[in-house]
Amino acid sequence: MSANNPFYVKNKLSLDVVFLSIVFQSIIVEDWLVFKKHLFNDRSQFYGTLIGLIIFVFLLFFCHEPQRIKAAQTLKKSFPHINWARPTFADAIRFVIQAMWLGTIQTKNAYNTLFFYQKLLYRLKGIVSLPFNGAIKAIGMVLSKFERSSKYYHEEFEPYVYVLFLLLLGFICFTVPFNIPAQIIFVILAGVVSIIARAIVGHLSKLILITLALAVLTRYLWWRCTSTLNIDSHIDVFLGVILICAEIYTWFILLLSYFQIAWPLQRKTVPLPDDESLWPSVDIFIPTYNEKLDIVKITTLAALSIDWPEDKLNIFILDDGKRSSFQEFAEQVNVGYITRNNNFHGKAGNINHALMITKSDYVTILECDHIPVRSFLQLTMGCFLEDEQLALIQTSHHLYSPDPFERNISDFKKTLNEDNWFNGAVQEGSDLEHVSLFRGSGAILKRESLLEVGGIAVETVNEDEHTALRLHRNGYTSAYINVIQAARLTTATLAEHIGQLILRACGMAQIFRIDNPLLGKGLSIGQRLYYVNAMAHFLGGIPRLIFLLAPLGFLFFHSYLIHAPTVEILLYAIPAFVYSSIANSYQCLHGKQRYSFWNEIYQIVLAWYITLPTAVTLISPKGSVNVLATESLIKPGFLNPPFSRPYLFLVVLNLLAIAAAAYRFLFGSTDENTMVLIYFAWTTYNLLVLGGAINMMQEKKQVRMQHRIEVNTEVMLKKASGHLICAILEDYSGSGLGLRIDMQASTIEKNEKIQVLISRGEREFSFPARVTNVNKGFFEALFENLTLQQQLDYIQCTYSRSDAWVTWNQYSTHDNALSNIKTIIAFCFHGYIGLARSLPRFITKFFLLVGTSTVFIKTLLPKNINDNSIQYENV
Amino acid sequence: MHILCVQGIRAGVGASTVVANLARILRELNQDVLVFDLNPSNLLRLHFNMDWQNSSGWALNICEQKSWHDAGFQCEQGVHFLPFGQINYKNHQVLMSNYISENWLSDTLNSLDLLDESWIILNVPSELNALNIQALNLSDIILRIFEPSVACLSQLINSMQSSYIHNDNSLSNKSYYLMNKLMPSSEIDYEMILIFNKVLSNKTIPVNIHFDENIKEAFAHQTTVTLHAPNSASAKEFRTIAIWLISYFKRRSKNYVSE
Amino acid sequence: MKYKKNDLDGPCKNIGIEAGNYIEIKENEAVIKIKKKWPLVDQIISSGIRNFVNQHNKTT
Repeated sequence: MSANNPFYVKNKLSLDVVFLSIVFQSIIVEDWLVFKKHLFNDRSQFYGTLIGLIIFVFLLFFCHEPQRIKAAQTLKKSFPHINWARPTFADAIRFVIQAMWLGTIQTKNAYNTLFFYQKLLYRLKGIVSLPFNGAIKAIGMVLSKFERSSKYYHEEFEPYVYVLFLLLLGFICFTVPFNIPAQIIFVILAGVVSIIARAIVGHLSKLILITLALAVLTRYLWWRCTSTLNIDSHIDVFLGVILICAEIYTWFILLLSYFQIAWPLQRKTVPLPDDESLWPSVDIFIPTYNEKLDIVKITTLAALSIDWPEDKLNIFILDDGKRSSFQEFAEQVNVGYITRNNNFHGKAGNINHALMITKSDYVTILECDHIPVRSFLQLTMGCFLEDEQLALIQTSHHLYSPDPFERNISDFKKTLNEDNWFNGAVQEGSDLEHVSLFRGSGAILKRESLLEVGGIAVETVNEDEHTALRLHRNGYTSAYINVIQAARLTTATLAEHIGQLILRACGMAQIFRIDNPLLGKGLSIGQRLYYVNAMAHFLGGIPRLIFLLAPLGFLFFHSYLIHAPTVEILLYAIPAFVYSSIANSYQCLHGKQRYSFWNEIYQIVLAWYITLPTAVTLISPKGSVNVLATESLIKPGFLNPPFSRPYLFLVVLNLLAIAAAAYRFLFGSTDENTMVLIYFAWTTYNLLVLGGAINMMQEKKQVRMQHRIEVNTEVMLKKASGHLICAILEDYSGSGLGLRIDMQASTIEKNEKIQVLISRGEREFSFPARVTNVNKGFFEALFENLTLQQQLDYIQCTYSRSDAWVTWNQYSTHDNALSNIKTIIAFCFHGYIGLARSLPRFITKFFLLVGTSTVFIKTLLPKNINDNSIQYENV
Repeated sequence: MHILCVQGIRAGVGASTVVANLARILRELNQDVLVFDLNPSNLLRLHFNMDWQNSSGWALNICEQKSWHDAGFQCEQGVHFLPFGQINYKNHQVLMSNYISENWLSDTLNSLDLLDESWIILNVPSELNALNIQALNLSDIILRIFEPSVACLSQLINSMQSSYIHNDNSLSNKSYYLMNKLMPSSEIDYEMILIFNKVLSNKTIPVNIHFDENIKEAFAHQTTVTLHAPNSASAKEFRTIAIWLISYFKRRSKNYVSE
Repeated sequence: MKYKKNDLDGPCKNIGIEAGNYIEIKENEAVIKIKKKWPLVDQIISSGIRNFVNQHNKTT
């Protein structure tokens, strides 16, 4: 019975046994177990545990030194929050609480009960879903019979009949007034259905959840519009209508996004013909302006590694910075180098200039940090050959470094970023209407059609989407391929990130004014709707700001924004809120692609900065968009206090609202108390979200110059002595590797020269490197004097492997609402702690007192011990 | 019985080393293994810690009119092996002409009365003679060892074009190629890998054995690298090959059943 | 050591084409370069492969 055997079941035992087993021989422990069983029955196990612990402490005085050390180690593990070196009185309390926790809750019995309930729940779920499954089958049978009998039915009318029927049904559904018990039943039924729906695998559950969310939300809105406006008071009507408008706007955005996401088209690409002479020629443009050579180098080498006939692949570095080092590098690796004598229209102008000089059939645009994998062209170009009208293929945008939001959350890989969501759900959804967005990079365009619309559009700051719009207007289609064929770095700072988003939002607003997608010809209804959604999305900050301020209307001015009994408000508003977030967050809608609450915070952060410039641009499109966006970028200290000033203002207002709520609760009329509580809860939620937003805006610096990409592949090392050892490649960057070896098997020393053998496909490459940092089994190795060929090979083994980014998502966990809420609250709280530090001294002191006391109370709480080493084998 | 033939494309590519290591690992995986050395250079025994002076072996026994059964040894790890024995050129001629009849090898192996699941690994020298061809015909799978050198390429292409193995479809179907002594830091080696993979396409085993000091050192210790340096990369490579072989036979028996 | 050394399986499967349809052009080009570099390799390959292919066609 060895401890290493993973199949051997270990039982969690009570704490005394754990301690005793570590210090003493197992015979003594067994004796104690038998003794304990005799002396205490099951109910008083706790006392047994306590006595066991006392015996243990007592015995400690008589045992040998090594045993005492061992015991101390176990103690440290079981009481991780106690400072053993210098214990205080509080530590004594911690010890007692933790010991009670470990002795009662965290024992085998407690675990078993928990397990039992889980099983019970699982069974219940099965029973509930049983009739539902039966019903589905029955409906299917009836439908198939019906189909057979209706021979004379004309198929063309079908969609219209369906739509008409649905509209009628929907209208009845949304408008039928319910009294309170009816509404309760409705909510419960909807809840049951959604629980069942979540158990169903596949697309149906998503549709069911969307339908449910829409039903609940629309009913809520109908109720808001028809029966909650206080017509008696002017100010109430005014504020109430504003709030309703904001709600309708969010509902509208949600509706549009549901429409877009409902039926994703998971496009399958088309294989290329076997005959390579039929493959079209492709130019790859790598525009750059002021980026470092190291970054452009990786992209260029990766582009050179793309599997495409050499004579049909032309790579060009479009250098607006006109640097000689770039020209030298281009000559070295034998790629084209294009400059121009002006820098008009930035990137768009740069590409347009290159379009005049080059002449291949297709043009691929890669941002200078956008690294393609070697299958980039072969997996995409087939679509062009099949579809004559296709003018644009956009590949999935994968970001391999944490974006500023994620970095500030410092929870990378657990929460996914907005871009991943965009890639998955939105792009595939909109691909249905053939309006995949052109995102400026990682895209392939047909030269002929691009020239037909006058090259890349230069009229707006959002040249990508404007170009795509023009292509669509001219009857061309676009495609989106959701397999990660290229990856890039994210922006370095939050300010830059927001700056980019502002540019995109303003660009979209400009497009709406200059070349409105709703008007003009050439677009289908779906395409138009899609553009509306994109625009509406950028203006979504306005209702969010209104929601943040809404409770003030009641708490300060005593105006009834929602004129309804408290019970009704609870019955309508809470389900509406819950369902929209369920539909947003669970696997049903975006798969694993979006994290609901983080997204909420993210949207709040953006709300202020995006909404204002966008709205301004929408009013005067020719105005100073560029100035607006770039000015906010350049401003020193854009981020810190001045950056979050509007949010500080909102926080103060909401804090005052809390005070007002307390006042109203204590001194106002008693029949208003429940209403006050509702607004109080709303304000608290607002404060929570604001705290999160503030925490998110507190920048954390990125330390490393070159971002390291985490992987987990087996490689080999050849030591200078000629011995070969196995190693795990844990991360890589352009200049070095992070490797792990088995310390027992072999050793490695600092400054040792090694060869790293990495294989790709059936080939194997060796790269000379020098060990720099050794930390137990993990060490870093920096490359030494790689030849150009070796650099190329290295890129092919790492960045441009065709499966380099495929397994990326496997690290992401499911969106677990509960644990998410816990982390969110902690996260938001930290925002306020950070905030408190920058306040005037006396306030800081007060806050710090509150903060430290909370933190102190938290340290008193017991901790879960999940350390496997503290487990005793039940003999 | 799983009969495995290991043959170098040319002499000195390390076939005996592969045989010894595979035998030890299969034994570690609780398989019954018998190693049969058909190579007159009689080197295989040294991997199993046999004394250098000890010249006994099955061929010597036959020449001396003794029973070849007496030549069997068992190493400490439990691998049974039959060394060739140290014989001179004349004796070898006599052996080949007088004693090795047409079905000698299959008769011999049948007379051993081994279990169904046991492995017989035949160490076959690269040159051709009646005995070697018997071995190749008898085997279930042939592992042909090569190193990424131009000489090996030449030999390989030659054998494909003209000699026995590729004129006979049954032989070429069951032969798999294994690269040994690979050194990717050498420019020509790393280019030859590509050439060999193109030539052999799907007939290679998905593992290569690298040139490793550990292997040479293990031989100097009269043992195999799997025992000498069990954590080394080469030991791991041999283990992977052994598992590949086991799964090959599993797949084969499954196919038989389904047919 | 992994059995699946082919980095193309995953992406190709995702996108709905067989990995066998993929042509490893860089590898093919590398073979041509190697042949140019080592004349003996070129001689062996260009005569050998042709015969080998012919024989395979005959037998299968």
